[in-house]
Amino acid sequence: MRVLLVEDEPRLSAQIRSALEAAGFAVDAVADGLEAWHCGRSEPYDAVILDLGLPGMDGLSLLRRWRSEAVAFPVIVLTARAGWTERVEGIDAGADDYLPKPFRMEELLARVRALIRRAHGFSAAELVCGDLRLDTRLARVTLNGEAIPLTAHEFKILAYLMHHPGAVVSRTELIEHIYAQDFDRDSNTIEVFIARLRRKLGAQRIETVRGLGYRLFAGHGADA
Amino acid sequence: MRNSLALRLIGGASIWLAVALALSGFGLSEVFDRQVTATYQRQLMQQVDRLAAGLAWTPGGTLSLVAPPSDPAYRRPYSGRYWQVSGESGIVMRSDSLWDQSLALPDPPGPLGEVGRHVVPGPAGQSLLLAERSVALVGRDVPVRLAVAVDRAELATANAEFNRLLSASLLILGLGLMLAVAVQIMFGLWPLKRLQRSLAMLRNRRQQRLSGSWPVEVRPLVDEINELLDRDEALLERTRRQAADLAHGLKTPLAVLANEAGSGNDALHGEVGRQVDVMRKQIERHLARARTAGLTAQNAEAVDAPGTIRELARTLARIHGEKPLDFEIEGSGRFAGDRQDFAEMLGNLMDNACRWAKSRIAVSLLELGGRLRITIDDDGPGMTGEQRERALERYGRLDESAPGSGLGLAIVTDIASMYGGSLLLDRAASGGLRVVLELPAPPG
Repeated sequence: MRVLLVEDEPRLSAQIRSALEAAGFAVDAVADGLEAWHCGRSEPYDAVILDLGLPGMDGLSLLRRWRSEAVAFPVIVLTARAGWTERVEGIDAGADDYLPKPFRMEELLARVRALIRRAHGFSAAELVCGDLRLDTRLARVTLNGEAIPLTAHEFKILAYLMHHPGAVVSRTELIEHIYAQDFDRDSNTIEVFIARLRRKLGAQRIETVRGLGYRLFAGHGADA
Repeated sequence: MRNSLALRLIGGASIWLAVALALSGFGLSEVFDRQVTATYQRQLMQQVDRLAAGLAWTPGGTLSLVAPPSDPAYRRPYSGRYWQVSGESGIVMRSDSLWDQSLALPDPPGPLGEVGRHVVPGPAGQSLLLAERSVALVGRDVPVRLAVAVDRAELATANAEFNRLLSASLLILGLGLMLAVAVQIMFGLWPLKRLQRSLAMLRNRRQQRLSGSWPVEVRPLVDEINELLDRDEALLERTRRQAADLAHGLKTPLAVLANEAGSGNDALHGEVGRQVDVMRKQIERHLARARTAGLTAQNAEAVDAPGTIRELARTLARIHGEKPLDFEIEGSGRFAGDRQDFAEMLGNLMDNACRWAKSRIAVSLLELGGRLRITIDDDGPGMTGEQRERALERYGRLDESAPGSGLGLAIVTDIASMYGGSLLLDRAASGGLRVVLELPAPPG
């Protein structure tokens, strides 16, 4: 899952970034409103954490601009201005959630995960695909109730596929959602990770659709 | 007297009215007195002339009065009307009214034909107004002195009668003028009365500024008041903005500190985390207070309560997107105060309800007798009587683990009390928590 973090306070930005990365997210961090606007238009983020007081372009204007351009990713607003009139304004501008500062990091992570799940139509914290279960809070994967140890990148790829059960996910899409912008991308590594996942979960679990990408085998109970 | 403009003006007017009326009364009385004296003197002269016309020398050298004055008063003794004819040798003829007295004529007699007017003592202690003339009658070249007199008491009676009438009419005139002055003052001070009523409406928040047209004398005051209101509003706005800036300035470093504290498990990290939380709560609560507009003349808004509640419900449904929440909003009502304050109170209460509810939140409104009562029921676990009591205590926190809880209620209680409102916790019919918020509603 790839997250855009828009926060101009460098220390806080670094903290959130490291917490998100530790939780298995790919993070693009920007400090400027205009830059954030460009990133949001060109990159397919799974969620955006948006501080309202920004240089360049303030958060609410940025949000309204994205929404008017049909940019649909879920946005959680992070702000010190926590009055209810401001919250109503933020939600009306197109935010999906509102987290007043200061906040607990766990709270932010929980809300980001919940937002991504909600955006894909899931409401529980645990994603289920047949006998395969992925707990977004604990970053834990079980197959038939047995825990499967996964590396960070393997987890990221599986989580993305589980958020899109039954859909064909292209390699580019996977790269875009798994790596941050400034990461040296090599599409061949995706194949390596898929191969490792197949080894751990069973070869038939991830299907290769030639020329298009990968599809997570949607067993019964996978459609939500 | 000193504290009422109307009484001052009436007092002043009555003083000058009294002085003016007294002076004019005195003057009129004087004029009348002179007029009466002149009239009497003219009459006396006519009598003298008539007397002269009736006198003639007899061939025997005595005077005879052909037609004595006919007025019966000349025959009644000491009646106050007298005449007398005197020659060289003394009194020749006199009216019966003189009886054996004579009119004391000043000596020497004036030149022939000239009229003499005098005030002389008369019989029975009377003071007489006298006219006399020395004439030469045909037949003899001896001057005859004719005198006619009238008691001055007669003049005094006429004067007294006039003065009585005069003072009665002046008194009536004075009272009438006072009434007119009072009416005029009331009319003149009417704008002040209006101003007073307008100010009362400002205070009751039925209007935001003094409007309408005012007399030039009152307009500077009205303008000044309006300017004060504007300045007050600007000041409030600035304070609110500063509060928000302070919030922004403090909360981000606090967020950094809190995250830093969360990254370790030793005593220092734990302590910093706890202190940051205490600071967060203090800031949150005092900023909420600073932001609260409370009862001011500017926020004479009548907030449409259901509208704001629906807006909040939409926002909360989004924020609590994990839960399928069903909001039921019934009834209507208005809140007399600031819209932002209202949103702050209802936002906190409804957020609390959303946090605990399973799926249903019912908000009902009732505006009655100048009060707006808002009841918020959730279908959550509810609270015991003891928990409810503790929840409303200052800075009381019910659940240390639930983020933000307790603080919200304290903020709501703070804002509500600024409006003279109240917050009550009760048990909902569903077993969940019922919150009853009572606030002022606009009049009418």
